[in-house]
Amino acid sequence: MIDLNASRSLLVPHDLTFLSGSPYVYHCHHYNLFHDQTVDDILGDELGRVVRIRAASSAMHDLLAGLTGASDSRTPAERIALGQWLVGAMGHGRLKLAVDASGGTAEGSWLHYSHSWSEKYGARVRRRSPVDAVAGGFAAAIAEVAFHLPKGSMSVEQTQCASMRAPSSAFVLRRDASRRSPQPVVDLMAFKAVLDQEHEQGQHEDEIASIAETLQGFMRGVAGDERGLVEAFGVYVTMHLGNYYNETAFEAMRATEADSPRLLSLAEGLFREAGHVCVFNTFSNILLSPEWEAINGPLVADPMRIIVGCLAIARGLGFGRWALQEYVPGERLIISTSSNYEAPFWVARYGHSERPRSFVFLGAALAMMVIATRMRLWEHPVLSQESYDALFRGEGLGFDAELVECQTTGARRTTAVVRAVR
Amino acid sequence: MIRLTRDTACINGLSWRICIDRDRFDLLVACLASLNWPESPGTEDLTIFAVPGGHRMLVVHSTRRVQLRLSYLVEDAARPEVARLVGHVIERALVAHVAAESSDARA
Repeated sequence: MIDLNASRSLLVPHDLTFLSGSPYVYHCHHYNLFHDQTVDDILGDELGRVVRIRAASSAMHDLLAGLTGASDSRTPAERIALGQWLVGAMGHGRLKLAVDASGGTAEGSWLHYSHSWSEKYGARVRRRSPVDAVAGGFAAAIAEVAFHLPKGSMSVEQTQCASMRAPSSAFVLRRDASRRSPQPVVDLMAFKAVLDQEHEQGQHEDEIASIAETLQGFMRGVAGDERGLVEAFGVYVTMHLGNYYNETAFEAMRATEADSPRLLSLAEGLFREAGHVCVFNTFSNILLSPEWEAINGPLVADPMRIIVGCLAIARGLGFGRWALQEYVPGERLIISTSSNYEAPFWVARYGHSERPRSFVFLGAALAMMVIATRMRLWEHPVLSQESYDALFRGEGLGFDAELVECQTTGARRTTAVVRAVR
Repeated sequence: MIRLTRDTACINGLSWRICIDRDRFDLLVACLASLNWPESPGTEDLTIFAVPGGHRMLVVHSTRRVQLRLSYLVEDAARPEVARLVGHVIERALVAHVAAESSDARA
């Protein structure tokens, strides 16, 4: 359809990745399901779904409008075809739209969220609400861009979901002139305006940079298969829009601050745990993969090698230039960054904050310490919900973590300190 | 000659590790090559074979790791059996290879 790689850009020296100016990162299905569940836990199922659909639609609208401008898609049908293809290329499954400017329907098969939910939980839990808000939002955005409609003007309702044992997922789209306009876009230009040109240097810098560059190259070759899914490193991977994660997480936090400020630390803790889920599943699976072994050799029984690998993976997945400041074996880990994907979004959209906000970064730093020191990855352990629970939800993590500075407060960098708990 | 165990992966039962005694790894690689399974692009240290049925076999030469990745089209319940069948094909090729080598040696 188009060469997606031609529309990618890397914000040097920050290791942040953009597609046609829209920030993107890679996350696995464990993280994606946990993130969405967290938003719903905080906002409630109904409002959570509305916020997630709106964020997905808004982020995809920006991306697709940019790509359409760069491609030869001149008719509504061509723009719909481009949008459908893009969803699959990014690993979100297959969407098939039957729409005009007033709305219509969309059918989804192999959708990332419902398929991976079924794979992960389907044998144990019966789901009672749809899970494909992201695909629904994407469908609305495709219809808007196809017919040159304003952003946010198409509403969407999911009428059946494969996670609820329907044969496929289905959506109804309606033109809705009453919908309020979405928030302004946070794109490459906005990131540039927020970030310093200075970048973080740390220990083992050359090695981390070299592995990250190799991984970035590898990820450029990763694309959806005939289902529109990316099956890599033993997980389902999505190329996903940073604006989606940030808007949903931060709107959930802001709603908590406004309505139930006493619960804010609980909400922040859940997003910190999303960082644990990411590192435990995505980072560990990458470290244990044959592809990693072929590039970097086998894992050795040295926690420092795991930490160096994790920092390279973070950069390779577009999370930003994470750097190692200090590692005292089993005692302390200090990670800093001049550019994670969370803080610039907050500053661009809401201005500076009195609180640190980079909770995925914080949780990831803590989880790196845990998997490096307690997981013995070099013995190729089984990665399962049970092993996750034992490490992260058992009698105690053995470590605590704190954001001692954060770019959301106006600091030049964001730093997480992980300390052993006695 | 080979042992089949589940390899690390969160997607149920798709990744299998093929284990063989270290001194027979080269023999295994020669056998895989003799099966004429098409090669996909890998790296200097990573060979990827396309196995009939939509599966893939990844061989990391420096660490002697061999991983069978089954096609997603294989139903959950059938995955162990399909992995065992692919393992059986390799086992038979290994036996034939060893037999041919012994025969050559005797000649």
